Amino acid sequence: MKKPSRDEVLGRLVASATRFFRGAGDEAPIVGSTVPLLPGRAREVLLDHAARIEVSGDQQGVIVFSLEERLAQSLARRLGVAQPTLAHCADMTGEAANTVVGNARRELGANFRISVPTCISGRPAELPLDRGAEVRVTAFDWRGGRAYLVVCLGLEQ
Amino acid sequence: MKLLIVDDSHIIRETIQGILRGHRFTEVRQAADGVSAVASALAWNPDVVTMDITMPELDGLSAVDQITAARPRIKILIVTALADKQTAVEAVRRGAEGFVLKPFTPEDLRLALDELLD
Repeated sequence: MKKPSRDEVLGRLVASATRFFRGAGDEAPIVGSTVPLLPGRAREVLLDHAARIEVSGDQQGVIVFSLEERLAQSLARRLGVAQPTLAHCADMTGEAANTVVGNARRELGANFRISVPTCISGRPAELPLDRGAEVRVTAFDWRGGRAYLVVCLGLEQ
Repeated sequence: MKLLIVDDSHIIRETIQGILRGHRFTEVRQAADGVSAVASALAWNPDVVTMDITMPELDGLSAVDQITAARPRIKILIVTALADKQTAVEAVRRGAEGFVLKPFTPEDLRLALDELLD
């Protein structure tokens, strides 16, 4: 399988996140444009819960999937959690990140290797990404809540 | 019949338990990582294991190796978000007998279990 370009990876991840939200309910997400994350603006894309996945293999980098509390609660309720707690929301964010990124391997292949998600709750001040690589952000609005897909992949060799 | 549910997400474990309890299974236990899964499978000897792949401590495919080597009678259903064909092929090569992609519907899961057991 040919090694996918960074733009192809980004496109597959955005498509996977869109499918994820569409499949989670009767409402399609509103998907924003994918834009570069400017230096010093990381706090704006770190919402109430964030899951970080490291990428290795064909690409090296980090993916962060960040959810507002109300969106994480909506997802948890869809899975039968009547009154989602903070712990449920963090768990849901990790599972959502794993599903979005793992499903993208359908097109990206098994050499797009991904780590177990690590979850951070409470709007941390810094985005734990690789320094020096370009960071792209896509916003998703769904059921009255916002999510950000933050993709930071190393420069192509 | 006895079912062991293995996934690092508490919500997913509870979801699977809610769907499958009563659907052929009278006893259900859970494990949150591959190491606990292997220990529980060897000690408790379930009929079926639903196994996530991306987990801390020990990944699901390595856990499948250890469980099938020690208890070849146990049937293993992979339940994962990893959608590439190579992962599915590798899981079967290591001894898993079914594969369900996340996100799944209750029907997806019940159907896969029925196919595994019938």
